[in-house]
Amino acid sequence: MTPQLYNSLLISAVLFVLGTVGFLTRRNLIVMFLSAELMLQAVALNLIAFGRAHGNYHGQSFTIFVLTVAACEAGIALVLFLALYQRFNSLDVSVWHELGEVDVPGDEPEILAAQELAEVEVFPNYPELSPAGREPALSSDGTSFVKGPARKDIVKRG
Amino acid sequence: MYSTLFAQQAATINPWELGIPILLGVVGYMLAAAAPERRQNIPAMVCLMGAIVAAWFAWWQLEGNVVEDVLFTSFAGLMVMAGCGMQVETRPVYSALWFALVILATCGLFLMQGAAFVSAATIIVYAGAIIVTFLFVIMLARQGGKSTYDVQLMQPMLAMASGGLLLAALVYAIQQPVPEASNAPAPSVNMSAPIPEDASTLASLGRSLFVDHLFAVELASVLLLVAIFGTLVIALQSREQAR
Repeated sequence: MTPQLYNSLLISAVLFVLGTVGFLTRRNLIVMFLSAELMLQAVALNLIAFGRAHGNYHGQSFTIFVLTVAACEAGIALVLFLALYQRFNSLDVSVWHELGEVDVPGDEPEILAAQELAEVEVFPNYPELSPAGREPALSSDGTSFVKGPARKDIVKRG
Repeated sequence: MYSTLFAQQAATINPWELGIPILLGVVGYMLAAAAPERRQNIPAMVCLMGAIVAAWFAWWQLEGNVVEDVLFTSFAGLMVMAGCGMQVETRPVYSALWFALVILATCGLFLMQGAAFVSAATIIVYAGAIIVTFLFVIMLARQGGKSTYDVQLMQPMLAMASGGLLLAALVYAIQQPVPEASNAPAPSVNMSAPIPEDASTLASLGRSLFVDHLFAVELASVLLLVAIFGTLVIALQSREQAR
């Protein structure tokens, strides 16, 4: 292993861990996404270093694909963030904590408690997501789904 | 695989060499990312700098070529420092700018490894497009004052412990001696088309892209198209819902 390859692997390991830690700890959606991009950059650095060590261009080609996927990801993620922001006026990821199946009980009570303590004044209205994971009721002739009133068996949480 | 790795394991790795930079880094990050009333910036900076210096002493290998070594080391140091700054910073705009600095330093490293085109493309795509859009979104979603969710971290202890373990495992694995490739096939220089000796980097890269990875290129173009449509659909839907 040449020193340059070794150093590149080392530095990309550090970068990857920084991205992981940021993704796990930060709560702003945008910063979380940037941390994920940081991890992608670390992988790209690895690819280029290995391509250089093997003396071919596959590493650089892979990096270009990583770049493409990152660009797509950024577009989708940004428009999602804007849509989410328009709903609750916040970029906090734990606003969407209850996003999930209705049947599964909520977990992580300390996060919920901390959120209630910290953000009662910031978000007076908690999210009311339409519940996911239930089959919609069929109409009597069985050809279409019933909209609206047939779903009142679902208990609103929170 | 594991048996060969451990059979060849030379007892060269000092646990202190592995542990001290990681410990310093964890402590510095914890100090910098603590709750705002307990946050200590100066000791955190000292610890993070000490971690970088310790990692340089313990892990770094020099090549012997002074210019390359200096450039590579400074790019790497800049990258790590900017990455730390990005994760420690509580204002998202500054986080995005630190991220742009990380990208620039990474592009310097790309350039030093003979990937000029990828380096330029990364600068254009990331620093030029993604960061600008991010800043745009951050400014659209501007809040009065500092929001709690930017200051309060989620489970910093657990995250730092797992991050430190992950880094230790990665560095340990990287520092292992490479197993002898006894019967592995020699790495092929190119899968199909031979690259002429005098071809430039860009020409060779294009040949590799459009000869070896043609299907993937087409797939990537489809992916971009789908992403554009997805973006439009989500944007229009959310606008209708907001109405």
